[in-house]
Amino acid sequence: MALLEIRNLRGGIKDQEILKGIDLVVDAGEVHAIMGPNGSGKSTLGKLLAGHEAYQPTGGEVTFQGKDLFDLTPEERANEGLFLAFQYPVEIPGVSNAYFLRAAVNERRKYRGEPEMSAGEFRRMMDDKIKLVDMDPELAKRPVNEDFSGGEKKRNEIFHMAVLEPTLSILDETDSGLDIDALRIVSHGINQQRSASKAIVMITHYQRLLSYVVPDFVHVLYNGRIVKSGGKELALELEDRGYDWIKEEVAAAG
Amino acid sequence: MNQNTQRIAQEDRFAGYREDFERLRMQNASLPVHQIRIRAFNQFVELGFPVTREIDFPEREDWFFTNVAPIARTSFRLADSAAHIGADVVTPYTFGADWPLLVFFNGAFQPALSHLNGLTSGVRVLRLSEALAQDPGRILPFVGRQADISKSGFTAFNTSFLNDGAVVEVPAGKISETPIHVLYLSDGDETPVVSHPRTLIVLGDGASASVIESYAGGPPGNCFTNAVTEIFVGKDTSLDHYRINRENRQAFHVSTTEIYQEQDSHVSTFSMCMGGALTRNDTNVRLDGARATIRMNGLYLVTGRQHVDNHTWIEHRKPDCDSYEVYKGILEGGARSVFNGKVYVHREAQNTDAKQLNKNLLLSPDASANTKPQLEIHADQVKCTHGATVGQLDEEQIFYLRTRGLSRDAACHLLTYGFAGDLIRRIRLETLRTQLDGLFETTIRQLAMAQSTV
Repeated sequence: MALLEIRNLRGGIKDQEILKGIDLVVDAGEVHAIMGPNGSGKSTLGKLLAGHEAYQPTGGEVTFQGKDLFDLTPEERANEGLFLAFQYPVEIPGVSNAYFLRAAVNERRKYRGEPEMSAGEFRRMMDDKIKLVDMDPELAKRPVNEDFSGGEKKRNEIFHMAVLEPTLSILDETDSGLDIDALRIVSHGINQQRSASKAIVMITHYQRLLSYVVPDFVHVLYNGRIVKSGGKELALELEDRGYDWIKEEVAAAG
Repeated sequence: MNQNTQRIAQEDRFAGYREDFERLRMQNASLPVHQIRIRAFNQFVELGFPVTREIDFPEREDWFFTNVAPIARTSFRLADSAAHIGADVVTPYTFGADWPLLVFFNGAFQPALSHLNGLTSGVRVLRLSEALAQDPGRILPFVGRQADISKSGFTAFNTSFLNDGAVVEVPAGKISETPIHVLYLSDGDETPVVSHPRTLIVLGDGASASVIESYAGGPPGNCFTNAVTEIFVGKDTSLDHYRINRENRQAFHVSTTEIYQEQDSHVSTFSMCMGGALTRNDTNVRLDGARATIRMNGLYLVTGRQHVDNHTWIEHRKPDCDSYEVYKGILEGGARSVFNGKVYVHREAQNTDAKQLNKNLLLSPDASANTKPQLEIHADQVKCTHGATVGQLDEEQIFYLRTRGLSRDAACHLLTYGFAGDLIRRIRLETLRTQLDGLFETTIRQLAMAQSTV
């Protein structure tokens, strides 16, 4: 059974259909990259999968670990092991990162019928994860994303991912707004979390992230459909040639 | 109805109050304080209650959003001064602490429940009635010095019945090691009951103290607490003042806190209000010495038909003073709040640094918040900012938290906690901080639960 199976998914926001029939299968251990020009539907796909209420499916089906994804609330999806790293992480004033993550970890444990994690146990686990993603420990004590720099916010998303240990992570433009040093650190954090039992879907505009986190598959999303799939060399080709040749191919195929 | 006939009608309404006033006079008319009471009662009859929307009374603009008609039309009586209560009534309100404690029930002192164990030697904590009877010369110069009976009917009302309450006096150079807790309980039954707690806090030069005033009540009953607190802090002093209102949800509560600060004094106030059907707190601060600072934090958590009004007035009279004020409100159900904060900077008060902020979180579409921060600046070299917000929980924030596994309820709770938790974390007394944090959590959990069932 594949981890994630998307069959002919259509959907969007309000009356606007942005996704027009997506097919994608992701197996455990795989890293996929979804690329595409602006407005092709990349972020819509991420939000729809995570369960944002403004985004609704209008057709097709998605199963996550065999369950119908659209039967699950956003928190159930999260507790089943789905994670969305936001393109624009949200600030939560007055709530420290650590306090929030402990609440999240314990919600998950409750969902899975496991006992709560003690404060001490959580602190030790958190310290390990901070090291894993090479984050400034001070950021764990500060309110979630508040007054974080753009790079710190992205790094914090990867930190959340490390703490929550999702089976499927969707990273929505995690590379955008990062300078080269920050990109290297964030990529290192992602690579640390690759494993045979987990999968990662990276939504990105640029190839540069993919030189650090090398994907197994690259897909091109254009006009609400995956119009081309290939290996990591497809990303290099896109970097070289841009998206126009894809658009032309699609137009030619009519 | 012209003003004269209106006044006569009002006097008739005050017949019960006049009777109680006579009763008090019979008890101790010989005391010097009685002269103060007579002046105050005349003033009270003159001013009456500031019933709103009477265009004849422009001075009542301060009461525009708070209608005290339910107080004005009820005839409250002084409670039986012999009433005594059991320890079980008090225990829920002591924060689990063994601080020196004065307890009053409907204005009557409770000797069996009060104690001064652990009080730093040299610090004076006593009943006001005792102070007035034994050593009036020492206390009277402070009584009514800031709480002006000509400005407020409620202050005049309180002063008319000036009888008991608490006196905290920290002599010059003395540091009060233990916090001092004054607990005013009130609870009415069939007869609506009024009490007029009066608190006096005086810090000599170089002194420091923490004082907690609690107002609480058990099961719902018709009662009215009309409190006045006067605070005088000398040079180089430090005072933390806490005011916690947990009265029952039928209670009326009007309080006036007058703070007078000399140079290099540092006062920090924290006001938390959860109780009361109708609550009005006036806090007036005079920074009357250079480099004095005040930090005022306030938190109100209201639901149902509760109405809470905080009026603050900070007067910068001298140079180099700072005032930082943050009031936050969380409103559920059909609750309403009013915030009116005025910072007045005199011409002489150069280098004033004043910040004022009021934020309101509405958890229900029927809740409403009125907010009006105001600055009036007559000095030319100052740093003053003010701001106010009224908002709801943000859907993007809720979604973000849900994608990390929190339920909608848990997300709302966390966001509500985060909205005002910083004010709790700034409480310096650890015991109080922990207790109030728990109380805050429980209260917002109840509010959130009420909200999710809508």
